[in-house]
Amino acid sequence: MKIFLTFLTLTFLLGWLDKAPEEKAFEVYYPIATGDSIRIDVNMLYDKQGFPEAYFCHVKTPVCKEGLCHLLVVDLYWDLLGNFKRYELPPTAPLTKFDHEEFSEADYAKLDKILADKRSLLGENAVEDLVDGSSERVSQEVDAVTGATVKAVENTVVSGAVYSTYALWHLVNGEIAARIPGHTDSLFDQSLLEHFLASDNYRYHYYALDALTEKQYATYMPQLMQIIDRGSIFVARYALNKIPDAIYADPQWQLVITEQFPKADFTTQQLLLKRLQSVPVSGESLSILAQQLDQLSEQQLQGVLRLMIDNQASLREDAVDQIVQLVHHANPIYAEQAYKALQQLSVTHEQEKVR
Amino acid sequence: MKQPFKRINLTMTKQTILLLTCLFSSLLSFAQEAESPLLFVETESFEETGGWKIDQQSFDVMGSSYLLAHGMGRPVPDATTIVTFPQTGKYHVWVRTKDWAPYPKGPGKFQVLLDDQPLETVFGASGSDVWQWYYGGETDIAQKETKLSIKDLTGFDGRCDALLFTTDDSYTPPQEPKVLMDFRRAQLGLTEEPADAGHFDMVVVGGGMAGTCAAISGARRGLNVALIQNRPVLGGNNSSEVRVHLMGDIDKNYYPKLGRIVDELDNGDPGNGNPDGDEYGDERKLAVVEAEENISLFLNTHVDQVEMKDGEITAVIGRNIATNQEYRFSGELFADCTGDGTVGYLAGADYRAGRESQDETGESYAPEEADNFTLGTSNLWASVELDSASSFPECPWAIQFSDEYHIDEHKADWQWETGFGNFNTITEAEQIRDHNLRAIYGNWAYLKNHKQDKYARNALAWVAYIGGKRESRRLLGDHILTQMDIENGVMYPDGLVTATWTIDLHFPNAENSQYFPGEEFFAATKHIKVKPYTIPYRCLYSRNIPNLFMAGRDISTTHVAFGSTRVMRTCGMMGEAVGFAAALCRKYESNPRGIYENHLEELVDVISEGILEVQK
Repeated sequence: MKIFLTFLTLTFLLGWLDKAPEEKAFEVYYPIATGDSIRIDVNMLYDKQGFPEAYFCHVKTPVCKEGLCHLLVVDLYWDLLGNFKRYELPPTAPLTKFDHEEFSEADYAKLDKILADKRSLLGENAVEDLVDGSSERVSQEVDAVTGATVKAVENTVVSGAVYSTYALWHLVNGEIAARIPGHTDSLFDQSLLEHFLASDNYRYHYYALDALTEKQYATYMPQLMQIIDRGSIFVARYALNKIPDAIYADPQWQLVITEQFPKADFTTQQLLLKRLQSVPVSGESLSILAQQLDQLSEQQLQGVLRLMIDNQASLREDAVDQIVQLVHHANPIYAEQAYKALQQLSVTHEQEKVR
Repeated sequence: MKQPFKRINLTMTKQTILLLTCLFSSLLSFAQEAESPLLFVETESFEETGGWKIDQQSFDVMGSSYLLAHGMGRPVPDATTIVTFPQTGKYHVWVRTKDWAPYPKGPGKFQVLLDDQPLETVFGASGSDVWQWYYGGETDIAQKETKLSIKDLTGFDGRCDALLFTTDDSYTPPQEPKVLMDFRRAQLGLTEEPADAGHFDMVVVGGGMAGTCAAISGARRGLNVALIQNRPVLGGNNSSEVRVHLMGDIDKNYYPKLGRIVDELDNGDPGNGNPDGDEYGDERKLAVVEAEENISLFLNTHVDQVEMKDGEITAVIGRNIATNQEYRFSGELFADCTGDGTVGYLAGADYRAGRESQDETGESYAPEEADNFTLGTSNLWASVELDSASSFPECPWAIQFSDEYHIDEHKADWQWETGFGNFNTITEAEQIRDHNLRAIYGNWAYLKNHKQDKYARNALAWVAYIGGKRESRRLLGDHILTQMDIENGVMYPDGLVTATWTIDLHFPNAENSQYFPGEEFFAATKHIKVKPYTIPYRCLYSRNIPNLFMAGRDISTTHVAFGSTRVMRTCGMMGEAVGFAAALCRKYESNPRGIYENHLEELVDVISEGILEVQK
């Protein structure tokens, strides 16, 4: 615990020593138990190149139940789309639980998970519903009244710190997080678009992919292929789905995209096959697929052979050879499909024998 | 009176069911195979199953159990048996299997060995997830008595249903389900009468918490009870095979006499998916049941047929999941504690599955339109931290994860769940389990290979291959419990079992849905708080099969109300109540409805303070 507190202290101090440039972005008013509200200034931090980097605020608010309060002091950070990044506590005011017991490392770890869950039950329930009034425990200490956490929701709060967890979750996932994307929208321009495409933050990738016009997709294909090649598989699928048909129909880009097929996971392979169904497929692309024939599932094999039949005019000899080889596959279902495909491709028995 | 055999002992009856269909067999429908010697072997009947597991979860679909190489990524020891060929010489080998994860090719590879010599063909990675016969080539059998083995190559859930050897070049084993079923029955010699397992006052089908409590409760009231369970252990979802903890309270009961048997079986709360299976108390449950002289326990027996007369059930027929021996259990009363409502379904009991509409039930939590949505099935898992680092292979055939989305957990809890109307919980139970396995292995491969700082020293300790099913059929009784019954705390005169759990209706986790639409494997829920309420007795018997009780998740409720009644302490108390009512049925030679209509006061009295003596 001491090491952890030292770490927190250092983090906090370093944070002050190396403060990034910042400016006020907007303000919100956060309701407190007395019926009043406190003003929270949300600031934007910039990186060394001058790009917006994060949103930040310093919060000092009472956390109360039935008039018994303690002060919560915390710095909160979000990314440019309102996704919570981290919190920092002053070294002299760690989080505490029932009866002022300090949070353990496990409690902090649990809190991190809870705060990261945007769809937590905390968002939909009043704090009173999270404690079981019928089995309320009363502390001897003045500000430590709490209920036994309702069993069913005990995983969504830090045990013994329902009110603090609840307050922090709403600060992190409440109005501030909701307003940040709008503020970022107002700053969004071509340089930020390119900054997003070049970043390693998958959330920025999604944002950029949604912002691109059809024409811009053609312009930024090199950057998109970088994301598809190196980014999250989920962003890669999203990008492959968003890329317009015109690009799939372009032989050069079609080949680059199809070259992803052999190393793609099954779901991405399915997506690629589906997209290729709606455009003319070049001989080069078909040859890449043909090399995979015996690696495909039965269902995929059907799909790829269909593509070959539909694009028979551009099918190269090496691809036909791959089908012919499949006729001798140990799995009779594969052999039969290959045989039927060859029949449809008008490859005669004599030709087959020659091959 | 005690039955001739109290507990079916696997080793006593275990025999390799290898039946030769010879020329001029009486099986005219199989004239083709009658022309040549043929050897058919069910793998679940192997003398030594080695590290392979007997899986009966798809019995109702396949008509058979099969062997599963569930090694969590490490190949399991071979399964072996001695077979006797009708003659030496050349045979064609056929193997009934599937590629359980053709994405694009699965990992469940295995080989067939004859006298320790592997056949060349590797099975289980064909690219097709349909159970079918695969040709394994030709082999020369030098000795009639030969050792037959299946060798797991991966530890990733390869599976084998049966093997067939024929000398006929042109023979192809049957594939169409009905024909295959008849073929199995003929080959296994199951066409004759099943063995008589006895006649019972009450036959309880299903040895989960509800069934076990029903059997004990009835036995203690003097009934002669058969308890039939299709696994080697009792406890169902609370057994070491599934590892779900008991929920629902027994200390808020309107009738405190209920819940005592549940308490006896309760081995403490190890949470969900504890890596130590002993914590769930399989031995305790077995010991409590075996101490009851009036219970005849039949483990490893799957009921798949009923016999009816004049609209009543007269017997159920079950098959041993290893030996395939059939048994008939005749009785006066039957209790469907199968979870799936199997007995009721076979008997033609009215039932519902999926969700009712708001218009139909008036429930605010019901959907506008009725649908097939059900809560899902969990295959829990756990890792443990070891002293040194270990590796786990990448699993390209599993669901793929990335830094953007993965489940950052060292063990599972209830959220690991597949179903939600994407799959049918009965007819697609195998696919549901396999989808869960693909999620578990894919996620674990990600954690082990891409988050080594956190997981290098963790190793999988346990992954359930038996699914913990939440919802399937609901058999309809004289009363159908609704959301309003629960929220209004309606105390019907026959309100017996006190329930306390929230209305806990799972649905796909929204983020999981976003990433895997239609293929979700992670759940969320809303807990709708309830005050303790009582479940009426009329929810515990069928409205159209006069001698059929039910207890557990298949009782008569709406989908919404089921969200609260389904937890296992509550299900156990339903079983206890059924046992009490069954004893009154015996006393008055009545049926379950007759007790409600004519003896409710006595039933209530019995579960309050009264003592019931059964006259024999």
